[in-house]
Amino acid sequence: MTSSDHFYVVDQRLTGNGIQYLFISDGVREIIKIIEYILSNQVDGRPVYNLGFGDYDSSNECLLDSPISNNGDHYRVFNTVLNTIPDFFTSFPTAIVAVQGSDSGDAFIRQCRHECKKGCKEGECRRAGRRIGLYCSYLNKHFEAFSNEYIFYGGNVDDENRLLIEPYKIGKQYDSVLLSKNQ
Amino acid sequence: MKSNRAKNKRYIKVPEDVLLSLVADRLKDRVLFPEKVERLRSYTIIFKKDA
Repeated sequence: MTSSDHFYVVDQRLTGNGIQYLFISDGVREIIKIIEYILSNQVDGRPVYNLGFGDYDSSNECLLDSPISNNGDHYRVFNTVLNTIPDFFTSFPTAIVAVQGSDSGDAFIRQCRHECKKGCKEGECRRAGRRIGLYCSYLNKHFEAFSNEYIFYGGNVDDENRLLIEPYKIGKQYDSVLLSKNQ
Repeated sequence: MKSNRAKNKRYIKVPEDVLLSLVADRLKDRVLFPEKVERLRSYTIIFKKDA
């Protein structure tokens, strides 16, 4: 893969339970970005991999999965993440990939309640779920084109902590988006 | 005031592939986004039959 104006060249590493991709976002400043596919669950005998994405903070040697970098290259970064999907399925053709927002879990809502001044009611958070909303919005626009190659599912968590999956419906709100290769 | 030694310090730009390789080695065998992975692992994933 060669780099272009539309995406970055990535360094791919197979790990014991998935794949990591690394690249340098070269915008306002240089930021090391990491994409991780890691085995997390099994459903109907198929492996489910979580897709994680974030910045590497070299000063603390830690990963930040919620920063808004404002590095001036978000389309190029987003395209780079999308470009890893076909490569991932080359190595794991029967896998299901799960995408969640970093601002969707209870931990985010608890943290937000500490810092936020929006004054949301108990059990509500107006900042939660924005990221998955962005991903869904992108998918809604390109659903037909992507559906040639992939099958998409939407998932919502119920009160019993079950992630209930259904075929993706354009316009519906989901906690997670899952996809598999069209066999 | 900076010493001569500090003034003469030179920085070498590490090639991109070498830098990424160093970072990848440091992160080897680590779960990089544990919160999301744990969240997903805590769920029972079910395909809705009526969908």
